[in-house]
Amino acid sequence: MTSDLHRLSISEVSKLIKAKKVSPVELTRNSLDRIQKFNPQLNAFIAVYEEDALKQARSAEREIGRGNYRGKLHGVPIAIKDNLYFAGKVTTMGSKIHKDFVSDFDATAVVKLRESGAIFLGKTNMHEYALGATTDNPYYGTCRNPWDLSRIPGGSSGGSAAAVAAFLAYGALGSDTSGSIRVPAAACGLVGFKPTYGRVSKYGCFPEAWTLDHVGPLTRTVQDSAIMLDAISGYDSSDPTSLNVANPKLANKVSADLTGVVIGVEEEFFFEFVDHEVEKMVRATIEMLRRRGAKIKKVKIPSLKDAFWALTIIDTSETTAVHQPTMKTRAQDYGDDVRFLIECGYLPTAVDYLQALQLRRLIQKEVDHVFGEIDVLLAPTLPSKTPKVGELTSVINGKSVDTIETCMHNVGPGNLLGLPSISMPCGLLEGIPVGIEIIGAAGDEHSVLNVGRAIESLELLQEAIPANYS
Amino acid sequence: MDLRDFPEIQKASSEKLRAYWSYLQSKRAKVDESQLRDSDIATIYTAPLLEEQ
Repeated sequence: MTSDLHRLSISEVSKLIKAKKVSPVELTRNSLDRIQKFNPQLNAFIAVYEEDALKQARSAEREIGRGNYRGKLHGVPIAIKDNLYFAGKVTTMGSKIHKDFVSDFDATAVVKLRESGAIFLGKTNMHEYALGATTDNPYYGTCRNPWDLSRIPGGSSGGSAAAVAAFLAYGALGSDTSGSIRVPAAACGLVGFKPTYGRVSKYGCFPEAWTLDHVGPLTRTVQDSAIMLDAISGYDSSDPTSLNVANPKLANKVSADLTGVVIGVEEEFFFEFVDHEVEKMVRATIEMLRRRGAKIKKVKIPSLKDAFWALTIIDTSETTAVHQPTMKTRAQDYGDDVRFLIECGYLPTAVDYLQALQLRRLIQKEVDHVFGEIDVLLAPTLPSKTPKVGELTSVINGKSVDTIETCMHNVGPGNLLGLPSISMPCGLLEGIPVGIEIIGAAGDEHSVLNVGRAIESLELLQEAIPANYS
Repeated sequence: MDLRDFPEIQKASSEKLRAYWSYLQSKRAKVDESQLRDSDIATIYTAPLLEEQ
């Protein structure tokens, strides 16, 4: 087989597996070799399941050999963020406090991937307890961006993104409470999909803020994103917030056809304060979609001005409710930034929290009305260029801004309102990918994927990849 | 709120927490409160657990 096997997408490699032209064992060995070679510089993985992965791969090979092919993830090596429980394995949440925590059950998303025949390479590095956007982890090492090791991979699912971008895994699971799938996807030039709230079960995913938490895939293509989403989505009675609605499989329905598609552009919130060069690239992408047949419609959503306040109050309050018992006994065992963030959650009053929930409903109603006129909203994922490791502030158009707040700004509404949102690359700036965000109406993952496929067909990355990982 | 009621909060954080809260207040929602009293918005409600059918 070719030495470029690692560069294939899930969609491509699954065809070779199905045709028995490539073996799951060969693929898994290849991924494990690459992890051994590159993980020391990337810190993408916290744990590597070498023996288990090869055992799974051998089993997949036998099964496929007998003619029992389960589907497009059967025999494909993937990685899992280390806040999703694995029965009998340590799940650290990227923390010192949970460094020896062993769950006795698998997260539902893990169960579903196991059933689909995916091979688990290991658990990926993350910002401690998913409470940050840099994946600069004090206990498991600073995770780095394969496109430029001096830059952050984004977070909190930074390890998952670095692993997929450096071709160590074909896809990965992440979680997203304030952008933690989409920010790393933007930073690492990947497709990161946060589905509708409740579409993918959160059972067995350690909570950050339970009304904002989502589980979703990070992949190299839109089609792969649909394949992974199909595998992990669906009602789960173990998760009280799981959506008990029709769950159409989308991988075979994704289309780049923009006929009749209306793309909304909201200026006041999403383009309020964006790096000029980033803005130029996002607007150029929108213009190319217009030329391909999409209708572009300017929309206004005035209530979005309150989204940051509502999201911050809900996020910090719920986070602190999760961590307060541990704070009472082991506060010194949190990293400095995470401990401060948990302390922030002591400040809002009950009235603040409840009014934030009311505001969320108010914004939802307004956005829902706008989605009566458009199919998707497009916006820059990150308003700034990808920050350097250790940078607490970023510069946008000459003005210094808080890095974390900047990372959260455009992705936060997707969590607050539970809307399906993808970040995917729309070009390179100074050799680093720039992300564009596609936001759909609740439940409408299909339109988000279709517009994503249309953007992908523009080939804006021109086949660029992280140079040292080819 | 008196942060001294919570010994787990570091004294060293006090100043930074004050600055954070003051910043957050500047971003506080300026929504028309009458909108929040609309019936379907005012009632953030959790349904009772019913026996599964």
